[in-house]
Amino acid sequence: MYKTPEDFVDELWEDNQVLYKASQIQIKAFYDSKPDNDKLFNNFVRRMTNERMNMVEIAKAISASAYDTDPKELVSLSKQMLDEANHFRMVYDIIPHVSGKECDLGRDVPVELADLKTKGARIAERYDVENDPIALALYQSIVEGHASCNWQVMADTMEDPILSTTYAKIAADERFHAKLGKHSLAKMLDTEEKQEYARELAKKMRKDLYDINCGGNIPVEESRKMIEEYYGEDFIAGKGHTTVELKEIYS
Amino acid sequence: MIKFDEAELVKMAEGAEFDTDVKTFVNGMIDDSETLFAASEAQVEAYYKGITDKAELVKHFQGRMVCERMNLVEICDTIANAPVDMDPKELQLLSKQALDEANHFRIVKGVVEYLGGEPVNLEEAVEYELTKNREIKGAKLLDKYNCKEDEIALGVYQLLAEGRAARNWQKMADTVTDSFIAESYGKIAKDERFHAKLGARRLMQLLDTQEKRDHAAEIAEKMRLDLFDINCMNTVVLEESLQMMEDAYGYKSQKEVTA
Repeated sequence: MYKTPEDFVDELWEDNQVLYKASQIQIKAFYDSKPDNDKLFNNFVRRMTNERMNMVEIAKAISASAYDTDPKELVSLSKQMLDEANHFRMVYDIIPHVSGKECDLGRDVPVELADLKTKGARIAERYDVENDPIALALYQSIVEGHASCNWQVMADTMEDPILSTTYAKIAADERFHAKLGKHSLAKMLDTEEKQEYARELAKKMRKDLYDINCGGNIPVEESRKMIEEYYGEDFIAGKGHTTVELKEIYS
Repeated sequence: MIKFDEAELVKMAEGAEFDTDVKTFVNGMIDDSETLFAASEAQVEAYYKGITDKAELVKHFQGRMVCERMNLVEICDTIANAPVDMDPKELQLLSKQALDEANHFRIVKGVVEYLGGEPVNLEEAVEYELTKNREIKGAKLLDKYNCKEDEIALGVYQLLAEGRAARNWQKMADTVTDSFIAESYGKIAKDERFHAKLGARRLMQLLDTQEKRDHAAEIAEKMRLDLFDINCMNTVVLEESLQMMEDAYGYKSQKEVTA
């Protein structure tokens, strides 16, 4: 059924919230489990590489943009690319501080790039965002919205003020990117056909994000139940993540 | 908070961390380009002072608008294909430059619409400029000098083309009497000066042997002449500018003096 683009986008956004909450619980569980320095190092190299991948995907999208793309859209995308480059640098700088180990980009980034299961930026490749404007805007809205919630829970969980304020800044940027995505979607999704396409793509992206979040953090039973109740059994069918209950982490 | 610091970026662009030796060499390349910049500026000034046909001016700025878009795409390609071990600070600088170019594209489109009094058909304009009008664009030199493969050539291009662009935009800002256009172009000129510094910085990183410096100097010698040729196609050809180029670089013109 056709809805006004604004109502449709609001509904899409609302449907993300359970995923975001479930992911935040899993991230908080990871940090509260007091991971050792090696685990922290790997976790942050993954996050750093993800920021770099976001930057590269946006660069590709700008490069391949249609000739009639509004320059304002290109400015928004370029601003986002600069934000991602800044985040890449921020997380790179923070790795020795958080883990006591230096990151060697030539050694560590290729390993992360080869890992296909734990990065949100993979979704950009999978859904060909550089050639599909609806997929690009959904990616901005859903994936960056997910990232903003995740960086914010890290900012709230970390006791170190350098980490906490740095992550809060990244979270704020990601919120802005999600708004850009929502704005683009509201401009594009003006037919029932487009809305149906976006709805189906959004479902797939949310499934992928849950999978990625489980792969990079601690799969929590309470999160799994939330996901199953809201999105249905199909959402997690065949995923095979071994979950732990929160009481095991916080006992 | 660990943050992206504008002052740090400016300091990086100044090449503060490089040896005096390589800084002297690159600054010498800039000094050696002064005649190109001055000769081009003179032609830009003559062009804007002499132009009366609004339609021609719209067409002219449409070309400049698409040039900014081409620059944006080139930088995005560089970022997309950057080696995995590229310093994150370098990627910040490139991304900042890309954002500037996107803004310039938007600004010049605004000027074209302001002058033309109607919305630009971007699809037609970009298609035309990239296919039919490519010969008069500085960005075509990226292909000629194989800048995708030759990092030194790309650095020289950034240094000379962005340096020349900075001077030309500033001259346009100083020459046009319309305050909207003058302010827009003053902003672009300031950004281009910064981009030229990034080109200098890139060369300071790359030119660590005499052989590489000789290669850069050889490219610069040819590229100055090509950039002047392009300037002649975009503006008017002045006898005085031709003479300056001949005296400084031995430039032999086949061109007809048009003003």
